[in-house]
Amino acid sequence: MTRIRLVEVSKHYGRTVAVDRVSLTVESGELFFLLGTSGCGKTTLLRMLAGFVEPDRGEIYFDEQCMNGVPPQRRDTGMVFQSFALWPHRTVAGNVAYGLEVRGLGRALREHKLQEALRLVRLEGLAARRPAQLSGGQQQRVALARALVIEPRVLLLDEPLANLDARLRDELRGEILRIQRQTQVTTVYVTHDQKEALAVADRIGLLYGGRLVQVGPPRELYLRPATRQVAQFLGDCNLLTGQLVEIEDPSHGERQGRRCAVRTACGPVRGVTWCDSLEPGDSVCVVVRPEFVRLHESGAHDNCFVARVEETHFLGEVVRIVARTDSFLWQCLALGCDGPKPSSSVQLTFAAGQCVVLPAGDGV
Amino acid sequence: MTRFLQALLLILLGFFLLYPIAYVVPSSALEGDTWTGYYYGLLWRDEMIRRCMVTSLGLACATTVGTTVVALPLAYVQTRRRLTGSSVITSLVLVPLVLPPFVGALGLERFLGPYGTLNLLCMHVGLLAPERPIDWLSGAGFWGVLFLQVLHLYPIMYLNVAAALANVDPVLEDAARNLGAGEWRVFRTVTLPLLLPGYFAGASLVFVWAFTDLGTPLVFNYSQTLSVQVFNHISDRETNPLGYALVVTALVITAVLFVLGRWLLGRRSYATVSRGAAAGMERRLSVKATVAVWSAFLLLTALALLPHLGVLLMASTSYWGLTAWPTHISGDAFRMVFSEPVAYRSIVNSLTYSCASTLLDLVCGLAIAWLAVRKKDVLSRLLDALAMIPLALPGLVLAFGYLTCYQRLPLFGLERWLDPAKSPTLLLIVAYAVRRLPYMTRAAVAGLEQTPVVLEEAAANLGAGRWRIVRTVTLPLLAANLLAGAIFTFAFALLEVSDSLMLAQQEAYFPITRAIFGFWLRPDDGPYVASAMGVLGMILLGVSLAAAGLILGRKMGELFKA
Repeated sequence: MTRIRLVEVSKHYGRTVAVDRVSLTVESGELFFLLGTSGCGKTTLLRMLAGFVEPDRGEIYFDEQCMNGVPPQRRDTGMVFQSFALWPHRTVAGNVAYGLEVRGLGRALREHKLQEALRLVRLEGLAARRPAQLSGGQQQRVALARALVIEPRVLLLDEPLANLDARLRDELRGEILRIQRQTQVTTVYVTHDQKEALAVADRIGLLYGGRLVQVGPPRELYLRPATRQVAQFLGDCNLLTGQLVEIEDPSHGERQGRRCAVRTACGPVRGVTWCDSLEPGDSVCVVVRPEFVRLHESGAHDNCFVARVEETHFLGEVVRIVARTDSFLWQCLALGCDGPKPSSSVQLTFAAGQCVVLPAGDGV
Repeated sequence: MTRFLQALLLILLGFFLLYPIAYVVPSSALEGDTWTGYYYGLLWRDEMIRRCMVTSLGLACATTVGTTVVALPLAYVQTRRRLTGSSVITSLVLVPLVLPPFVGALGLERFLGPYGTLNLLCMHVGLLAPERPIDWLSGAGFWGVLFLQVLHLYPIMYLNVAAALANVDPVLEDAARNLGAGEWRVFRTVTLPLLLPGYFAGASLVFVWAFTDLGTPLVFNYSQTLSVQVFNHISDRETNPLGYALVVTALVITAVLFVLGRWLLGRRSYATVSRGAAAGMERRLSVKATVAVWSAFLLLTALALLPHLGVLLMASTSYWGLTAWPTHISGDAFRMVFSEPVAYRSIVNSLTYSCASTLLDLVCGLAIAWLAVRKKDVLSRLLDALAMIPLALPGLVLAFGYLTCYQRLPLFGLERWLDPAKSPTLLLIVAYAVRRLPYMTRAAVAGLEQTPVVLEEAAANLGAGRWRIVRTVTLPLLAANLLAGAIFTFAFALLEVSDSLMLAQQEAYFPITRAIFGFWLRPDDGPYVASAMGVLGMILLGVSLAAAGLILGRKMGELFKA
């Protein structure tokens, strides 16, 4: 059980900043996701943990041991590569047992651990096959078994499901979670798929332009994004710009945020903010997730707009509705199969607590 | 259309590749109308021949090992480490190829002969008595030939190994490092097994080349090789089947070793090009290591260029007596090249033969590649396999077959063109073309494989006919590969040795290499004219190789794949 700590870690390639002053702690036994678009530096960060890339600045610690300058061979990390990197000239057993051979384990112990690892990833009986004779999902399991069999201090997963189709991805995501819970190994998982991260992560670190923008549990990142980029990356949202008119009750407390009023092109909007630096008069943006926007609800509401339906899209379990007020296109989701008819008039409402007010800049 | 093309190519390859080989085998075991193993028994009992076989085999093995020792570390550092100035190394590494080793031998003799530069310098500082000079070359003919062959052939090994290394996804090595394997273990358990098929391609090429190289032993006056023995039997080939038996022996040895090598090393080929982002571990060499690599490389290049320098110095003077360096500069040798009819005509001849054989290869290579990649039926695969045979086929086997195999066939008036004693033009062109066909075919195959068939289908979908598709889609996309393959074919045909020495028997038909050999044997100014012709050949070959390198870039190694 190893705790990972990164202190002000940076990496440049020529003038390009791949990783910019990232500080982060991953607790032992945690399943931590590094999330971001391609080119945001997440794979570079992971390769730094594995020792394939040395940081230009900053330190990396496994527990109290500084890993800077320690070659990959002596880091004791198990890595699953995006391309799986299975050796085509070795069988499944040859691939999985490789790390055990390197560690000089005796034949009997090696065989025992090999079988155990194959059982863990449910690949018993395929030990004699070569990688080319396996399906994509099976190859992924072999790569996972190879990384786990050495009982690494840290498990590193580099977009391990990117090469698989959607159904298999869902299935293996569950497998990885099960195995991680079973082995309790500290895991850093790199992906660009926000659904993957939201579904299984203990915590997520969102990278943008080489910088760590926000770290927290999935729910927190989704409901309380720190910046517009975080909000947009984690899912669809209605994004209005405006000016902060007033902040109510500054001492309201950290947990619920501070309620505030914003003047937007659609009219006044009431929301909450967790940003301490905001003051009346500041430019802000307002984020409302489509699923929090209700249609035709009676009673008193924090926010209420009358809009005309422009489009409806049937998505299976929900219907996506696009409705226009004077100058803004709202997106909302309605459960069930029937949505309002196009051109009909609807009343859109949402609670202030589900409307997040952020500084207008990118916050990075 | 496809069937017609396949039939035509099969007839051509059958007539000019398989028939000559098929001819020499019975010729070696027929006495009148009766079969006999007498000549093979004779070969086996003849101690001299036995020694020649062992020497040739030893020479080929040692050359293969030597080129490996030089090329493998160089290719590894080049592809796996970040090295300052590595692009310079990539281009310099090919330089030794621009001179056939036998021309290099002419230059090397000036440095290492009894009164060569080395001895004269040693005498000058009193390390050597003037009356007892050491002949570094004829005193150690084996080592001289080996030295020149290694220095000439390591670029071919390098190109193969570098191409094979580039195909091994660095992430596969990272995966082993991640599991704790040290660098040597990573190389032994991951890199090397994946490298072997590519290594085998290079090794077999080098082996066959060294095993049957004729020019270098001839110039060193080293007759204890199989190739020289074959050469000596050309004149009595009509009456003495011993020459055929020697050729067949050479053929069998190379074939057996080729098959064995392929089974041992090349049987498993893995496509390991990365599917994801393959950054590989970033490793810049330390200053100390960079200096060490560069020093070793510069020493190697200096050694490899020693023969070139000797040829250049010889060519740029009209007399080089008992001095370490030529005492004056003169352009006489070059003037002689253009005033001596034999020399001048040989250049014209070589250019004609090379252009014609290149054209022939271009057409046949493209056709075979197209069939192999796009049609993929049994006949097409057979054609592709046939086109690769010359890689493992010693040049002298084919040349020896060409000398006599067509003379007893009813050829309806074509006899004159297929009898080297009357006119070797056609046979030389065909011999050059057949020997280089594998390069051309591989270049075209590589290009076609990188060109998705869907691009051609898109043209067909829009109504383009077959010829229009080839003209407007396939050929433009293949142009770079074809051009590079053509330049290679041209360059190597230009300075081909064994076919030229064996097939061109009259001065009027001499190609450059045969003329160089002739001049070398001529007393007085002969060696200077030979050197001047060598320099011209070097320039032609150098420019061609540089052009091919520019066009093909790192993919150059693909051409040498067996």
